[in-house]
Order: sequence, then structure tokens, then C-alpha cells
Amino acid sequence: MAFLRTLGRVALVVLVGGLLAHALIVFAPGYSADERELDPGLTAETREAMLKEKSQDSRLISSYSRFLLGLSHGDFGTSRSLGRPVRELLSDRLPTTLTTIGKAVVLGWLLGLSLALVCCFKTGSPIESAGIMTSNLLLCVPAAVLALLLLIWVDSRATAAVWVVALALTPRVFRYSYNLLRQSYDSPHILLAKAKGLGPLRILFHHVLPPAAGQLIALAGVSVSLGLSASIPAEVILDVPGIGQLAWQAALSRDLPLLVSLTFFVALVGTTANAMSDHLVEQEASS
Amino acid sequence: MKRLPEILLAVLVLVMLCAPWLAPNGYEKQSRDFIAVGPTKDFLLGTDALGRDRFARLLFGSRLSLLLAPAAAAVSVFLAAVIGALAAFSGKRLESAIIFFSDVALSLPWLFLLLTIRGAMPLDIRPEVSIVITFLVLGLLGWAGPARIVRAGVRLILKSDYIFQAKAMGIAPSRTFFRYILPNIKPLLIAQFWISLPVFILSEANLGALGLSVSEPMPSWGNLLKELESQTSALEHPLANWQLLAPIVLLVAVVSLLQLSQQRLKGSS
Amino acid sequence: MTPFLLAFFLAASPAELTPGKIQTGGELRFAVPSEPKALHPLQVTDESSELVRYLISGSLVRLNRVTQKIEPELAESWKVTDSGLQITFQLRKGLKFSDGAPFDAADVIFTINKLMDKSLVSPIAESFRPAVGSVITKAIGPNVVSVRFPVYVAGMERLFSGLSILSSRSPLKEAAGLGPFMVAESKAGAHIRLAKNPNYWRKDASGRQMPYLDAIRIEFLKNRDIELLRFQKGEFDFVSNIEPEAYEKLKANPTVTALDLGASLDTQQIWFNQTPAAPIGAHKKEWFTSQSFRLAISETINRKDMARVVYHGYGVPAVGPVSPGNSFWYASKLKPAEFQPQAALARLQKDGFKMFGDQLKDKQGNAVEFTIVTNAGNKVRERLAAMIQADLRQIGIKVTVAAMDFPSLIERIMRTFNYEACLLGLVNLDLDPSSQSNVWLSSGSSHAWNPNQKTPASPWEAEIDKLMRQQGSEVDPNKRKASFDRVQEIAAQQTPIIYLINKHTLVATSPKLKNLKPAILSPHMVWNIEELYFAEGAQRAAK
Repeated sequence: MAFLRTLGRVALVVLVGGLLAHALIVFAPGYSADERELDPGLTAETREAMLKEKSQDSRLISSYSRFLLGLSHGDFGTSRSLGRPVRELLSDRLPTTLTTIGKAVVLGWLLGLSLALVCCFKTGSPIESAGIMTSNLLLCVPAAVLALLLLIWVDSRATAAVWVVALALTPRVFRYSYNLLRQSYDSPHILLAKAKGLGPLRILFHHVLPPAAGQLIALAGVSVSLGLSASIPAEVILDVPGIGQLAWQAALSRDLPLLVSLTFFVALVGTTANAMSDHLVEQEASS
Repeated sequence: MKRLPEILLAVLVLVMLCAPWLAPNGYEKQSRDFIAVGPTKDFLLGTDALGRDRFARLLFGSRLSLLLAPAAAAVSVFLAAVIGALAAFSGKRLESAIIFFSDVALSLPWLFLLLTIRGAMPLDIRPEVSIVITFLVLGLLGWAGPARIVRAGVRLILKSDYIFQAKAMGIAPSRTFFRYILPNIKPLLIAQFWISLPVFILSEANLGALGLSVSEPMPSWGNLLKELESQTSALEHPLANWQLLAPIVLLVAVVSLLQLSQQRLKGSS
Repeated sequence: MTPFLLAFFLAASPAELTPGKIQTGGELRFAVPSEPKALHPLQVTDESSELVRYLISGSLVRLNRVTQKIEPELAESWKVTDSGLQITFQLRKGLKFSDGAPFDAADVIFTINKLMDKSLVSPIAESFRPAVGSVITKAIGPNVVSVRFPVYVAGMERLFSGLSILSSRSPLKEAAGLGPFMVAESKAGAHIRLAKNPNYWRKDASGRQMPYLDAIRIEFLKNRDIELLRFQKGEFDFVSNIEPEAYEKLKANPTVTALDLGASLDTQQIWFNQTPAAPIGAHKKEWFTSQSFRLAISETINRKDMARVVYHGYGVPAVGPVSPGNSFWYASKLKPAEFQPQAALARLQKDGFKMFGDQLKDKQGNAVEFTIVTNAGNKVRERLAAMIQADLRQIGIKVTVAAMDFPSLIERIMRTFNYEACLLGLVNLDLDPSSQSNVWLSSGSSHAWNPNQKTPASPWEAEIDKLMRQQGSEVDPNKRKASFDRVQEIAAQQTPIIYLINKHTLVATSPKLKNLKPAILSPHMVWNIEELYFAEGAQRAAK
């Protein structure tokens, strides 16, 4: 029952997200424009036809319900800028991006969490300051610079993209977990446990992590959305043929069917991840 | 030496305020016979592709960003705290509604809203106004992710023993919030603040690519970092032109110093 | 670089690229910035598709990119008759499509009939479809075909150089081609691989089957930095259209050959909005429609500095719509606008403009300031804008630069006309001025400063209209040139478009690749693809 309710909620987010995305795109400036218009070779007739096709989309509800109707037959429409069925484009590129994000989320968490633990164990030492500075540095370096630097050491662009996304997640994971763990460590019962002479690992797993767990799980859910958005610059800069690159191309050419489908995808993945982490948080809270 | 972070910060702020005297070249003067030169006596950090003094651009560019980015970060943290806490505190209905909206907000292509905002502003908008609007929008849009984490934190606290005790003792919810809950979610909010600060500065640069934010010839921290992108080339060792890294070094220094002094303040309170 | 040195460089370079004995085999690799959108040769709208089309299909005639002259291809000869209304092609005999289907007059007729389908949106289809009447094609024999247009088309054979001939009989339909290569594999978003067409018709002087290369692998790569990095590692065999800064770095690399091919056809330009319906102030419209105002702005822009600073010397101040790279149509007697800010100021003062402190005001006392819109994310254009801004400041004019993404920009300059001035670059692919009709005719939709006029807004626009029609209906090329020279002259006097710079075409290649004849016309490096080969032992195995 709870599962069905969650499923319904995910579906609702996807539908409403799609509608709002549709509205945002159609009413943003430049929607009716087409790069081909700059070509002096096109006749007035062709220009008219291009404009007419796009002006239909400004009748939001009818245009969106047409899209949904197609969707119910498994038809995501045809990309306007690439001239290929959206479903084909998505299924071509989906594996690349899902692999990238999957690897990057694991890597980002490993790096971020271990950095946070090291900093907590070595409070007040230069190691802690160095850890904080590293995380700040990662936040301050533009993705493009990071990507080009990585290419000095990494030959494969797909691997470099995993690192760019992972290194975008690392400082965020670090910051949250570091602050949470520090708070845990400072609480009275830990001081008591330390005084009792409990081992550091025992303290960590039995007394420090549990109170922070709920929030870290929530962060894990959100980090999927964060990874998705970080994959856009990473894939664009490194020319990795994934969903992120596709999204950027679609945005620049105002490719409505493609953009709405991509919003569906982002909403689906993000909401599912969040729902799963919510579920875990509930269990944590009731245990 | 304990006050070193504060002293260094004060020096930096002073240097930025004295920019007109320290960098008499100004940020827009194009010395077209000195294109992309390395550091010299006249140009401490060399010049950019149009012969403009990098040092002057860094000082002038830091001024607005240093003021506005923390303000925007504070706005987003405040919204996340209020919305997240409200979700955890309120009844089932409001909570689902908030979760629903945060999920939707995390999925939408906000880029198009930003384009619409730019389209609605006059073309010759003053750069100062434009950058304020940009940071405001960034602050307003960044709540959804952190709000979820705040909510998770608050829920855990609400289940804990001392809140039960507080309830049993008839303590008013608002008092419970300020006395017990806020201190417990503070680490989250502070973490969010420190993440948002540099992220917003970078976002400002990326929005510059859409015509939002400052326009030529005005520098901002964001567009100086962005410039680094066009100068980092895979053809060259990144440290071949060390002076190009100055904006990153300064930004990391400022953020780290702010954090150190905040931690010290927290430690002493 | 002085013209003399340039000439020396150009003369020296091709010789260096062509020594040695011809070797067959190997896979050529290079990158293009985007994925081809259409593999149907008649539906090509983007550059990458155009490149692939060029490599996999054959046309009746071909434009030699170096001599800029039309040469025989599938047709061994042709004749234009009936005062330019009819063209008759004599086709080569015994040719086969890539799948073995025979080629004859029926295929040409089939292809031209396909173009008449109104739902086909592509520059090639539109240039063949007449506004009134219809195109009549006739097979005079199995290898002779005539095409008759209802109205005169200037430089008609040029039109056919871009038309891929489809097979009327092949079961593969448009996938069967007459080009040196054919599509072997295509991976969406990543690359496309072309394999040698075993049925390609051309043989070299010694009777050897062309092309010499076994395969071509074209990767889709937007990031120029990564492209250059991989080129230097030997993963790509050439790069074209290099930015000046990167070119200088490549020049310093002894393992690659960097070549400056001289001025390209591309222009960078700025124009003022003169559209009557534009939602901008009346006083600004008055400035923008004034010839002396536009001239004064043009004279205050330091083009030499632009060429030196932004293009590192690999650019020339532009004269007008036709670059010196277009050898026949360039109006050589015109000179770029002189940089003379003081004379420009005097010109403005004669019109009642006055300096107040460091601010110029018009005769009603309005401060002279305007906004230049341009597309964001283009480094070169952003720098040009910042230079214009600094130059105009000298005569008290305040310029704001507003960069925006391309769709927003197009909407402003082509629909809402809510802009004051626009800075944009134009990529010219065609040498013939007829391709610019839509720009120069006052009724044209690409008549940037005031498009789609019912009747010409000014006497000089009326004169340009007349001259454009004249050059379009004239058979004698020299008379056509005289008319278009006059158009360029009026354009220089009136400066509705302020032309800034023609950048050089910069390319670099691996010294292992032989027989290259790099040209400023696209496809710069591979237009003679069937002749290219790798030096002995340097062939990369085709996977």
C-alpha cells in the first residue's frame, strides 16, 4: 500500500514537473526562434511553416495533453533539433549517464565521507585545515578547468567525466558529514564514552554515526539529483554522449519534446531516489 | 595569533576597498600594446586578452561578489531552514505538499525561468542591478535540496526523548523550536551556507553566459573564474601561467578564512 | 604577416605536403563539432551533414576549392543555352552507385523531381524550386539530360555542384551514393565511420582505383581544446578552423604542420536597427537611419587593432560583404573604412551632435548611448564588443554590451526587433552573390537592418534592389560583377552593415597525410578526399 502511494506520488511529480517545464520553455524568450532562420537561403514560405509549428505549443494544455497521449502509446515525440525519435535518443544515451552518475555518487561519497572522518579524528590539527581547504578548492574550481586538468592524467573522457561529477559531490558530502559528525562527537554522551575508554571505531559506529544517519541518508537521496545536474557540464565539456550533453543541446535549440521528456527522466530518477531515502529515514527514526 | 583569520580577512577587505588607489590602471583600460603579458611592475598579475590589468580586475571584481554571494547563500539557507522545519513540524498534508513541491523544484529546467527574467529586464540594465537580481534568484531557487535534509534532521530530533519530555512539560512549540531544534540543525545550515557561497559565485559566472549578471567591461569574481576556463588549455601545463590562478587562490583563501573565524566564534561561544 | 610573406607561405606549403609515392590504405580520422542531423543528401541543413554528404555522394559538377572554378564530375561536359534558361549535361558512361545500381539520365531526373517536393526543407531544395512555374527535366539519351528553369538562374552550373544524385532504381534508395565513400557505421552522439566505395568511378592517371584511403572516421567533438590535444597525440590527422591563440601554439609544435590559408569568406559585422516598427526611442531611430552617424561609428572602430589584438594578426580589416578570399567577386578597389575618430566626431558635430565633458549629446540633448546585442559564449565576439565599447568611448559614446543565448538573440533581431545594434558573424559557404539576395534585396528576410520591406525605405536601397536583380538576370559574368561591385560600393558608402574583420582560415595537419590541397572554402581539408593518402608506413589500420 505504502509502495503504491509512493508510486502515485512519483507519477504526480513527473506529470506536474513535465507541465511546468513545458510552460517554462514555451514562454521563455527565443522559443519561436530557429537557428536556421539566419540562413539567407531559406524562403519566406519555409520560415512561416517553422513559426507555425512552434506557435501551436503555446496553447499549453492542449499541446501537453497531445504529448501525454503520444506517451501513452510509448511515443515520446520526435526531437526537433536532431530529427530523431526522443525514445531512441534517450535509450542510446541513458546507459552512459547512469553509469557515470552511479560510479560518481559512490566515488564522491567515499571521498567525501573519508575526508570528513579524517578531519574529525584529527580535530585542531593542520590535517583538518588541509581537508577543509581541499573541499573549498573543489567547490571553487570551475568544472571546465577541472575537466581539462583531469585530461592530463586520464585518457578516457568517460572516466574523466566520472571524476568531474564525483569531485563536484565530494565537497558537498564532506561539508554535511563533517558538520554532522563534529556535532555528534561534541555531544555529552560521546565525551562520556571516550572517558570510559571505548575504542574509536566502536564510538564511531555505535554512537556517532547513528544520530547523523537520517540526515546523511536524505543527502544521499539528494545527491542523485546533484549528480544529474553536475553531469551536464561534465558531459558537455568532455563531449561524452550522455543525457547531460543531450539536455544542453536541447536547451540551446529549445527542443520541446526532448526537453519535456528529459524533465520526466530527471523527475523520475530524482524523486525515486528521494522516496527511497525518505523510506530509510522513516525506518531509522522508528528504530 | 588566534585572531589571524580575522586579521587577514580585514586586510583583504581593506585592499579591495582601496582598489582605486592600489590599481590605478582601472579595470577597463585596454593597453593594446600589452596583450596577455605576464606579471610586470605596472601589471602585478599581467594583463588579459584585451590588455586589461588583471590585478585591477581581481580587486574590483571581488568587491560586489564578496558582498552579494554571502547574502544570497543566507537567503537560500534561511528558506531551506523554514521550509524544511515546517515540513517536519506540520501535519501530514502540508508535509506531503512540501515534499511534492521540493521534488518538482529539483526536476525543473530553471534555466528557462532565468532566461525569461533576463528577457523582461531592459537591455541596458546597470550591471550592479543585474548582479543583485542574479544573486537574489540564485538564493531563491536553491532551497529544495537542503530543505529535504533539514526535514530529515528535524524529524529525527522530534522523535527523541527530550522533545517528548518538552511536550509533556507543556513547553510551547515555538520555544521547543528555538531551544532544542534549531541548535541541532545548525550544523546542517552552516554546511549548506559554506557550500552555497562558492557555488553561487560560480553560478553567477555561468549565468553570465546567458546575459544575466554583469556585462562587459565590468569584472566579477564569477567572470574572472570563467575567464580561467578559456585560458586553461589542454595544450599547456596548468602552472605555466601561475598568475591566472589568482582568482581561485583568492576565493579559496577568503572562503577558508571566513570558515576558520566562524569555527573559532562557535568554539568560544 | 606581409602580403609578400603570405604569398610565399602559400606557395611553399602545398609542395611540402605532396612528396613521395602514393600509398593506399589506412583510416583518416578527424573531428567535427556536431553530429550530422540528416544523412539524406537532399535534406542537409547543417555543416556536419553537408560534410558527410560531400564524402558519400556524387554531383554532376564539382567546385574546385583552390581555383574556385567549376569542374566536371559525373557529367563530363555541360552547355548552357536559351539565354541561360536551359542546361544540358553529357553524363559519364558506365558509372555505378555504391550498391552496384547503374547510373544514367533517369537518376538525374529522379533527383531533380524529388527536390520539387515542397515538404523538403533544405537550402539545396529551396534553391532549385522556382517561385513561379516549374522545372522541366528531359532525358535526351541514356546519358544526356537537360534541365530547363522557368526563370533565369545566375551561375546555374554552380547550383548543381551541391546537388547529390540519388539512385532511381537502387533498393537502398538514398543510401546508395556515387561518392568515394559510403556510411559503414554510425554511433549516435559519438562518431560516424565511412568505408571506401568499391564502385567509385574515378581512377588516377596510372589507372589505379580511387580513393586511396580505406576508411574515414569522423568523431563528434565540440570541445576544441580536446580536439587539439588529441590531434597532437596523433589521434586525429588534421584540424581546421583553428582559433588564432591555439594556432600559435600549434605552430610551435614541430611534429605538426600548421598552415595559414589567408582570409576566409567569413565576416564579423555590426548593424543598427532601422526597422520602423522597432520598440526603441524615436531619437535613436533618427541616429540609426542617418548615414553620417553610421559612417562616424564605422570610422571610430579600430579594425587594425581588432585584427592584431583579437586575431593575433590572423585577420584582415573587412571591406564589405565579400572577402578578399573570394577571388572573382571581391571588389578590389574598395578600401576598409579609415580609423579616424576625430574626423568622425567632426562629422557628427556637423549634424548637431555636441560634446559635453566626456559625453556626446545629439541636437535635442539626448546622451548618445546604445546597446549592442550579441550571442553569449563566443570569446572572439565578446572581445570585439569590448573593443568597440572602448573605441566609441573616445568620442563620448557609451555602449552597453548585452550577450544572450542564440534563440533569444534571433527572436530579438528577426521577430520583435527589440534591439539597437547587433554584433554577429556570418559564415559564407557560397562564392556567388546570388546566395546573398535575401540579404541585399529590401524585401528579403535577411535584410538585417530593416527586413521584409514592402517598398524600399530609401533611394539607395531601391538602387541596390535594381542592381541585385540585374546581376541575377545577366548571363555575362563580367557584367554581373560590375553590378555587384556597385552594390558593394553603395554598401560601403551607406554602411547599413559595418563590416569589421575577415579572419584567416587556419588549419593544421599531420605531416604523414599527403596530397592535401587545403582551401579557404569548406570542406577545407577533404574537398579532394579521393586523392589523399598516408605516407609509407603511416597508415592507421582501419578497425
